[in-house]
Amino acid sequence: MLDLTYEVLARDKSGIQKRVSELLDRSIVKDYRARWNSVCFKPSPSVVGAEDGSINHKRYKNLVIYAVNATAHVYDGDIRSASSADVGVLYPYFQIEERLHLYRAIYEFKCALEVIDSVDLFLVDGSMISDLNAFRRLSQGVSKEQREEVFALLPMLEQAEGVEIASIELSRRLGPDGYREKLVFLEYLEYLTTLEKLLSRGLDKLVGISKLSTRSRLGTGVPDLAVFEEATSQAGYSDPETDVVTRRFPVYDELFRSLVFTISSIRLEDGKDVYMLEVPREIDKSQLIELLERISYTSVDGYPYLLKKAHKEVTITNREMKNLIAGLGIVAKTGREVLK
Amino acid sequence: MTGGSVIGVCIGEATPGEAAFISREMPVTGEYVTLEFEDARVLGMVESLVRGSPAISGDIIDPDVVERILKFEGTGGQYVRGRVRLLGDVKDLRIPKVPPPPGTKVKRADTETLRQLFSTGSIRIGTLLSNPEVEVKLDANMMVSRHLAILAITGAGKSNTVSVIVEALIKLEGMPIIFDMHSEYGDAGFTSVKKIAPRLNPVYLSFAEFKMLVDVGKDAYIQERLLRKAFNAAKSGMKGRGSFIEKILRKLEEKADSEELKTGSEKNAIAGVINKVEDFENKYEGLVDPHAPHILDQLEQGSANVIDLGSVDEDYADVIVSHILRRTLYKRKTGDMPPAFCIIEEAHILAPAKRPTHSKYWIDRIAREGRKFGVGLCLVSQRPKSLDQNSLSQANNTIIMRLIEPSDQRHVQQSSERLSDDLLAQLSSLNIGEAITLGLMTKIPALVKIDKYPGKIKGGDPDITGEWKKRAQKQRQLKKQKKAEITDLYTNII
Ligand SMILES: Nc1ncnc2c1ncn2[C@@H]1O[C@H](COP(=O)(O)OP(=O)(O)OP(=O)(O)O)[C@@H](O)[C@H]1O
Ligand SMILES: [Mg+2]
Repeated sequence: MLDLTYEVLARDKSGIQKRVSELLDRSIVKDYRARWNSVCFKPSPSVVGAEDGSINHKRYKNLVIYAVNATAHVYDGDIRSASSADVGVLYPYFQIEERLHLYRAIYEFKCALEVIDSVDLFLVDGSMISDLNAFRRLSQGVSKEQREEVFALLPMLEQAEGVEIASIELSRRLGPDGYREKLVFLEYLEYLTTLEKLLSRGLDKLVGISKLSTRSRLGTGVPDLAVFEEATSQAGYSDPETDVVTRRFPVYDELFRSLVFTISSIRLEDGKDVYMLEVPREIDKSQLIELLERISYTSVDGYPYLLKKAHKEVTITNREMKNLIAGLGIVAKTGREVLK
Repeated sequence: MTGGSVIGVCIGEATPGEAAFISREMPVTGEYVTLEFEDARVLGMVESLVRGSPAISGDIIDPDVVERILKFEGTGGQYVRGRVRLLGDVKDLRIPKVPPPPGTKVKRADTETLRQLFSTGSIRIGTLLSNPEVEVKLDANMMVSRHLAILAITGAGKSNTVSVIVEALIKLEGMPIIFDMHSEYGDAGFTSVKKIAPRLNPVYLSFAEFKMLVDVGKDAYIQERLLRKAFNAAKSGMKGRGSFIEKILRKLEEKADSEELKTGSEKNAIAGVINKVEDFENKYEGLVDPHAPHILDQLEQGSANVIDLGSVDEDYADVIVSHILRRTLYKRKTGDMPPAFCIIEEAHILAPAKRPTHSKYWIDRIAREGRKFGVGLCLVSQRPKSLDQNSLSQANNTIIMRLIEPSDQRHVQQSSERLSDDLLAQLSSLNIGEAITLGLMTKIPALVKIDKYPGKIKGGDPDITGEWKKRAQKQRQLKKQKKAEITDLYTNII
């Protein structure tokens, strides 16, 4: 860091402090208490599943090595699990960040599919609406003919079994013309195919839980989660809202756009954190309470335990990534050596 | 020969002397294991264990959270990590030249292998803590000739250990000599015991010993010279009647009456010496006995020779111990006595680290020369750091029981290179009667449950509440009696 930063801080300190205290002023958010429904949830037994995934990577000048983990846990008196892991080379060197996220999501969904039929309730980390809206860029820059070529592989994507990414194998069938773009499009289709399977098989089971939702419909300028976190402290939920996805999709367009999501900020235990809950169906307040009571059954410290467990287990740290690379015995340049 | 069940597998980096492992089962510390690699079967000891669960990490701050997690996880997902000290190939106990590779299986050592290592000596002191089927037998030759130190906090079981060893020595027709500082051993019930009263015949004392008992100070040169002359005259067969002490007194009085003494200070000096010798006679009446046989002539082979020092003061104990040690070493040199094992209780009093004593000199000499002449030392102490470091480091064998103070632990470690940090860390968690044995008397270090000596050692924990009760009862009875007497008296009057 430049020393100049300290100088700037010293100069602007009081201004920044004032701004922080303005933003933290509880009086702004008091009005929103009325939208909070305090409930003391009585845990009600049900078979719950949850999944999480993680990806880490190392960039070299001409290639990227990634490692991906995903795991799904089910609690039915005992904890059962389905897991998968992969280490691979991302090729070609194109749209890296997004594709790595997409890989992770595919692994997560496929793990979830392994157990979804055996649970009453399945928790995913994050928001399905965001999942649907994500990766739009990956369908850009592909011509009509190229799309047709990729669509021809769709049945094979749909039939693919197991947790691996099928596109990697199928990509051999793609012609050289616009190969990069076609491959990325193919991967995107695999993502949507998997998400479609999960949504149709888990329409009445799926629940998204996000810790850091940026959804901000209250018009306060801060995320809705933060508003309720400040304004309330008891267990309960905010008045549910509904939402839909309006964009167009290259496949399953009708299905995706017909989904109605119910969204609410929730707190499972007094004094604990507020999370954003999202289900791909319309539910009323009493159904929401029933759902939250079933989630409470396997929650610890106000958060679903299986989600926490899955997260802890899959996280690939940078150190572990280094060990994996060391295990491969690769000597390649990252291009950063000159900076050292 | 594949040994017992697999309890873990090596991970991480290993050295030829040490390896880390993980396990699903719970081994116990001190447990013996074998590792097979590079055509060798290597014995190891589990030295430290860590147990944890990734689900219940150290950053949880709410006990209820732990309860809830346990509900889901049960005891599943726990891991045990530990360290093994590699002690050597089971055949020859040679430390392997290469470390075990990661993935090497850690197996429980089987009873037969352990017996070959621990049960070959002739002094049974107990069983392995981790495997009660394996007797721990010490090599008597090594124990006696290379000396032994028994170190532990008070009440940990030192005297019990001594008793077990002494009883075994009796069976071997050995010659244990116990300097019994607290009169614990005389009635302990050894199968054969020779109680020896701490009586000294002054004739056999050296002048230094005699001077100490008479309490002639270091700087009293004139007194010392006068006393020495009288002592030598009495010793060299001075004519006339009376005991040794009487002869000395007579000699001193003669001197006082003679014309030789000119100055006042010389006159004062001789009066002082006479007073001191008379005081000495009173103070040690019954202990210093001109008719006592030589104390060494009373020793018996095949018995516990218990020299009761419970009722004598420290100076006297110092003189008697140094006297016996000196004579024992001498008699062994001339071959007039069987090999002996001298057990010194409260060794930190007789051989203190910070000041010289007569005993310390002889303890130190036996520690250095005893091996050649077959005189063994057993130093027993609850305060290792107050014990003379020279003697302690000559003790090649050690039995360490519960020791809490870090400074004591470090002190012990400095004098015993075989005590690793992990073993050291165990010392504060040993229970009564549990010990680590180190040194040449065992092939390898062992964690031992010492046998409980069946007799009764007096030094054992006293029954305090019982004694209170007894005394209170007695007092009540006395009161009652008095009352009865008074009522009696009154009724008689009326
Ligand atoms: N191996 C053993 N098994 C069972 N009990 C034991 C064992 N060793 C000692 N004890 C018990 O512990 C108590 C103390 O033992 P002991 O007198 O041997 O301790 P110590 O270390 O000599 O103590 P101190 O420092 O006071 O002399 C006794 O009551 C004894 O019976
Ligand atoms: Mg004792």
